[in-house]
Amino acid sequence: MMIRFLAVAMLVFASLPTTGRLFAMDAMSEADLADVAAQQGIALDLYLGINADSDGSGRPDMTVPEGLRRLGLRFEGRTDEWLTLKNYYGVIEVSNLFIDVAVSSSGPTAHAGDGSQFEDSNGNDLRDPLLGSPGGSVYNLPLVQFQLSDPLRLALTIESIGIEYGPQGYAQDNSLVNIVGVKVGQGSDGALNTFQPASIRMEGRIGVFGF
Amino acid sequence: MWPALLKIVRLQVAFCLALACSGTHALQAMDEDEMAAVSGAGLVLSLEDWRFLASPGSYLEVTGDPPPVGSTSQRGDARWYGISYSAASSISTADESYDGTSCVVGIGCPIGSAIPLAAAVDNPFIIRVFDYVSEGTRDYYNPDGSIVDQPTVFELLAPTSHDKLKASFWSELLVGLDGGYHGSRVDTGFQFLQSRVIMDEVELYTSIDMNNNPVTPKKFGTVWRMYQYPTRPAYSTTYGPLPGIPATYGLGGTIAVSGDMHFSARQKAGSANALESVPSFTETAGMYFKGVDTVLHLGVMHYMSLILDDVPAQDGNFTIELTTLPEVPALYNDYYSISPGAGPGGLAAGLGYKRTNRPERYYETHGFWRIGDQNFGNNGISGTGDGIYFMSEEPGGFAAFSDRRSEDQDAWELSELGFFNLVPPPPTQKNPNNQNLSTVNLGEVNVQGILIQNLKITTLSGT
Repeated sequence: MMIRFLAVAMLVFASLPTTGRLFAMDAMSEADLADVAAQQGIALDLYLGINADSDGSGRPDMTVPEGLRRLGLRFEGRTDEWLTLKNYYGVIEVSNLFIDVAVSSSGPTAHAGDGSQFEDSNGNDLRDPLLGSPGGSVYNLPLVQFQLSDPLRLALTIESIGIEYGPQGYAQDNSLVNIVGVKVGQGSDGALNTFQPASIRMEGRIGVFGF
Repeated sequence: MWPALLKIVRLQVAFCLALACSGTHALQAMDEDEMAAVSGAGLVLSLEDWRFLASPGSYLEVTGDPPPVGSTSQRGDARWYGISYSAASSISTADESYDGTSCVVGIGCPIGSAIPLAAAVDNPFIIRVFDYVSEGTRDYYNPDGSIVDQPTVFELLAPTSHDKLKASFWSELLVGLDGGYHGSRVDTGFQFLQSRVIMDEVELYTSIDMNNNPVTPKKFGTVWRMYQYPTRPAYSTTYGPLPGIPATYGLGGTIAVSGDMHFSARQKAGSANALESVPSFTETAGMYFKGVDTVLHLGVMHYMSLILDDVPAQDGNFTIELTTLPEVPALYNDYYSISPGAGPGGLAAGLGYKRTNRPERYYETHGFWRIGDQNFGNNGISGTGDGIYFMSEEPGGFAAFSDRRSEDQDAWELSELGFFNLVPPPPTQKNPNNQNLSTVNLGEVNVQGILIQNLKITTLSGT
């Protein structure tokens, strides 16, 4: 089953913490939970492009000047100072991302029990009670599982990084410097003008749950 | 802010749980108790049968620039290709090279099979927001020396036990090509070097025997933390004024890694050795660091942090700084593991710099770097078990010479002529002690007490 449906992806990520709204946690009733369908899991293709064509090169048909492909980051205590990524563009393309629910290990793995990384100042295992001693509720726990069967394609260009000033510093280029940039792509065996996205395989299963 | 964020993260997890269910496990209603057990403290990531492989031709590139006018430097560009994480040689079921051929020499093979438990569900990666709590035995400090009751951090904790990894990449350093990789390439006077780094048997944690006590070693895991670096007042007690720093974004953490490393640049006969062409490296030649244990601390929450700032000229350059250790007794006593008031002069007795009974806090601010099993006698001239060694694939390999200047130096020094003559005897060709060695072991390394008190990197581009 292959659903090429970006809207579903947007739905999945719609609850990302971007708004700062407050929701109290209410228990769902069994009836509500049982109404949820999608018992086979879902499969997604994801495509994200910023200022770029599908091959990851900067879009030639941009109606805005090339110099305005900018992203500004301003940190606490840095009024009117923007760490600006200049002339940046790229694509990320994820094919056949499978999302379903699995059940975690039924008992301790070979790596259980060493909680020193997770101790608080009193020496308590901070993963308690979900992740604490063997036999805790970390086992037989339902978790969201992600699998990626095809390589993902990633292209990214940041021509330079520098500081810009002023309330609209994120959208301007007044500085004289051109500080080092980065690029992610696929080598072309020495041929010219053949920039294309890098190909990355991520095999295996990524399990996610909250505690 | 954080409580709101936490609850939304919690809701997101609950939403994901409700969204999808596999065919093998039909959806079961969670009861209210199970739902209520989700506290919203963080997210857990487990990785099973996991492997990350960038295509051997895919790269991360740092793009260079033309050198400033008047400079004799040349333009430089660098790429890292084929970044991969896979199973260590000791557990891998099949290894291969970047060119796709099978490979047999474990640490000479860049790509292994999938890692069964890269992060087990009971020792996972954890992303969480956490309030550490200051209390009698362990206080946390602001840069002005006051105690932070509850320093809040957003942190990523790596597993403290996992199946061993192999990490590798090959790199290309390009010098003197006008326009770099993406230019017109009319210039043919450039040079490049392709090399490969393989890290094998890697663990994202390590340990050290506290006070030579192997029963209770101190264990270190890899941690990264983000938090608000609090306002640091200006100081001028001894070394003149240091500018104050307003509260800003702070980053800190501990890097703890153990494993082996292999660096090589030798390519097989017939390998293209051409720009952007995936090379075929030989499996054994090169330099090895075997049995590495490293712990490096970057910052101490909350009084030392990595922060970003601009430069006074405001020309677009910026700095990345690990802030200075302020001249505040509470802070340097903590940093150097000095117990205030415990010894002569009020400071000395709890000093961290001593051979025995070091306080545990010492290793939380001081890093170390070890190569080898710390048995300096077991390496031998050609040992490959541990330590730093070089391997050659050339016929004849290495020849090891003694450090003596002349065969007859002892006799010459004992002679009357030698005793009063400041001019040394003429050098004579010394025969090598060992010839045709394919391996030369240089020994081991143990560096203790690594601390970074202040680090500042300033970009100086394009001026």
